Amino acid sequence: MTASYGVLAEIVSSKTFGAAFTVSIFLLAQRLHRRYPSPVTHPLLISSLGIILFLEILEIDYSRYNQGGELISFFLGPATVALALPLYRRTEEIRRRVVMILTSVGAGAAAAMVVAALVVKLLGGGPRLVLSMIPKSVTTPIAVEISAIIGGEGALTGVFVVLTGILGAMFGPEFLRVCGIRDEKAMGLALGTASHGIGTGRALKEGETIGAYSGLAMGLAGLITAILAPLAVIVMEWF
Amino acid sequence: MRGLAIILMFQLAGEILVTLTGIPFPGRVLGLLLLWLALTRGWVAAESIEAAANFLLQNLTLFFTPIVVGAVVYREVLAAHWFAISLGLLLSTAAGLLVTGKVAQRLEKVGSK
Repeated sequence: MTASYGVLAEIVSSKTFGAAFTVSIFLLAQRLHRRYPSPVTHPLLISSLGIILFLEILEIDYSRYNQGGELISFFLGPATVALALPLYRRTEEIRRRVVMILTSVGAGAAAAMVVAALVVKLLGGGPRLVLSMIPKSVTTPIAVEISAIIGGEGALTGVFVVLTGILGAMFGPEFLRVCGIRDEKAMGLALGTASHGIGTGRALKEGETIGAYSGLAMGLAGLITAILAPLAVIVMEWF
Repeated sequence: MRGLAIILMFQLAGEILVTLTGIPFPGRVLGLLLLWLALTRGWVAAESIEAAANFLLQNLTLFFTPIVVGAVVYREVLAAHWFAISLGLLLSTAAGLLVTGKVAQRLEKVGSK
């Protein structure tokens, strides 16, 4: 019994297993999402929960699993750099409305950072939790790296990023309309700034202009947040 | 393959610059900015990185999965502060939407007059 368990443990802690398992579970989650399309069945949420459950049942340490997991998450780096391509394609659009776009995305990104950190701090969250909340509105690969730089925890930020995206995708357009924001460009910018790629997925369903502006705002909000996050940390110290 | 090499080189350049200067800025994001600059200047042709960039961007969510799984390490923090976290996420998402939307709509009206 112990011998067979040893073999099993060896298999599941190999790099290949971690990588193969992650990709397979993700594909299953994606299939589920296609069949039941909803922000709640977001593949990232379902696949992460599935893997966590598996690790819990077999009592495998995260660090063991992550030897293979790291092979997958390495590609977040080049994926961030690749965001330059969609931004490049919209360079003209950005030039034409540079003041409107930069002001609104900058103000919205700053508001989201400060509110997130402030609420958690006032309700008794520790410094690491507060710092992990700050970059959670922007696209995942950028958020995780900002989090590490300002002293937060990338994995915690990752969860907050996903939940934020799901919130924005579920209620964003409705919330904006209730607040009297009906201009399509404004709606797109708001969705991309406040709820990154997952919100952009919803924005694309609302309309082409909304989707394009959301994608644009998602990239810019990532850049602006990277610049503003260290300042937000200083602001938080006043409270 | 050439596209991936170009993208990785820009990432490396960004990371090296951050290490050398010590600025508190994500190296990858600097790599993004450098690549954007190179594309607008025509130093890099968009077609040469297109296939690699599309592959990377279309599978972004997959690459992120192992990091979210890492939250399992912090389950006690998450369980202890679930209310603060939920309220923080809800209010900050609302604030981000509202501020961006209102400012953009106001400026768009001013601009089109």
